[in-house]
Amino acid sequence: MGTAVAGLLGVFAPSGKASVAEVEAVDEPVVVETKPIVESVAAEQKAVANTSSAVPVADMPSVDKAVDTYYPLEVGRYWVYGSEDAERGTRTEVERRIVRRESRADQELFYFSDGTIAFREDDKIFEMGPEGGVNVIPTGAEPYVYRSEGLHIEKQIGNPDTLMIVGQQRYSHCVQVVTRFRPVDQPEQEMRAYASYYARGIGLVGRELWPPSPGSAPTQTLRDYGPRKM
Amino acid sequence: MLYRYSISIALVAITFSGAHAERVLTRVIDVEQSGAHEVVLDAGRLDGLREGARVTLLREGEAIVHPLTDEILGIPQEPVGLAEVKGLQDRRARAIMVKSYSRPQVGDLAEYGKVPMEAAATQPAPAEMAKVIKRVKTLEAGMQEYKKTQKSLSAYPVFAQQVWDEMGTIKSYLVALDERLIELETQQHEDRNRLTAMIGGEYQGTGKELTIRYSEDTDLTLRVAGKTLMISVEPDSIRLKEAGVSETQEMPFTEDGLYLDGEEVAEEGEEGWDISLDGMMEESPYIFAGSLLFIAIIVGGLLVVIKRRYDYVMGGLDEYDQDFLADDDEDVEDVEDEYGKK
Repeated sequence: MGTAVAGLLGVFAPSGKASVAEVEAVDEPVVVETKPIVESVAAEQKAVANTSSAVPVADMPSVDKAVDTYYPLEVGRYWVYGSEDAERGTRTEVERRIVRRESRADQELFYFSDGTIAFREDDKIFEMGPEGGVNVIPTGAEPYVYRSEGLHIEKQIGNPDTLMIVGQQRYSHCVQVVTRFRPVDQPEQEMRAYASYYARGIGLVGRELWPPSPGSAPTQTLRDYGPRKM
Repeated sequence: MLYRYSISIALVAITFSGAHAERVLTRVIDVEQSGAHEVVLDAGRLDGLREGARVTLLREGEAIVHPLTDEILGIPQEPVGLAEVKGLQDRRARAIMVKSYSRPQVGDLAEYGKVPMEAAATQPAPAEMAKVIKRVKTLEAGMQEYKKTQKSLSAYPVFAQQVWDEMGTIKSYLVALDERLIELETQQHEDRNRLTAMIGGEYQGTGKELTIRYSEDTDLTLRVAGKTLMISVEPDSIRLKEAGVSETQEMPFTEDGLYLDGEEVAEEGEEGWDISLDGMMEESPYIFAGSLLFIAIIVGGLLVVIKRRYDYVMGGLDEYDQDFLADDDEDVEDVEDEYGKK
């Protein structure tokens, strides 16, 4: 799929049929600067206390199995991600959408519109792109290390309860997954990392280089999502 | 794909500096349980291992296979622990576990940073490497030569200007010397002529003044004033005439004697006189001998004066030459010093 870069200015207009209640949407689309804030639970509570009168953060109701996971897989669910390339001055939006579900004896495969295949196995989610890459999203406490496409990749849960604010959207109780990687023949000093944030019942809501530098912006942010595109 | 995109973005930032050791894999070929956990690695000094190196032990899991194409997309690697190399051989190494997540097993992967310098020091360079080294050395030599050439070229304008100035000075000196030589030759020639005329010609004068008949109608008068010899050329103001010839008739030269112009004498109211050798011989041979002696003394004095004058001039010229050569040597030394500093 890809993503494209759209910039950090954008309009977030969540679908009215979103079945998750832990995200509050602003009534009117407002163009604001997207600024992620990753905090601990305590910091989140403090922030909520400060802004509870204006933007209350709801608790997380468990709706169904798909919604209750950090990566809901169901046909019709879509995500729109925006990103910005400051050097080229371009902003891009890309939609990901599950278009097919295939049940097998040992696993269920979900097909994305961009050719990606995803499935659950044990406590991990495997994403396999049409070009041969594989992304493993651990949901357990154990780190996962693997090699793929000449890269040494380490996946590990960072902060399991994170508040993510993207523009005027607040995503609470996000799981932070830190990905560290390097070419297999390069030393540890060449390791690079990025952090992905998954909100329960929504999926990936943002991604940024890790550790973030002061003033840095996330490379990808969720602009729109929903169980079914209208 | 989001994952691929993010990795490709981050990969742009990776700098493959090569300053760090390359990571390579080997296998655990033996595990010893005596005391601390020790593992034997299938790599040694010649494989780039060194004493004290940290080795990461990994265990390969079940391959990640694409469910549709059965293509192996990745291999999980479970961390086993960290070991430190203690015993090193050419192709074997012993390592002690310093951190363990699980018990090491034979066949586990061992990842370490390869040190290329040791391998390069113990293994001869291949022929291609030797060629490259030779070529690099050739290029280095060429660069050194080029730098020297650049340095010489940069110093050339100043040096050339100095040489050009020296050449100009020498040329001026040679021109001056040539002119001086011509002047001396001219003067010498004139002196010779005068002496010849004095010796072979007639003279008239008294005391420190000598008049020589230089040409048919011109007298050359030499006057000595201290150390200065004054020479003056005076055309005739009186005419020579033969005795008995009319006053207006111009008398030619005769070997017998010189005749003064009677008209001039008449105008001045003085008696005419002539100088005749025959007459002198007739009157008194002593006078003639005295006259010859007097002439010889005068000529000798003139020769002494001219000789002194000539020595004086030549001495000044020698001093000029010596001064110039000394200055030239000093200039050459200055140029060499300046060139050496550059």
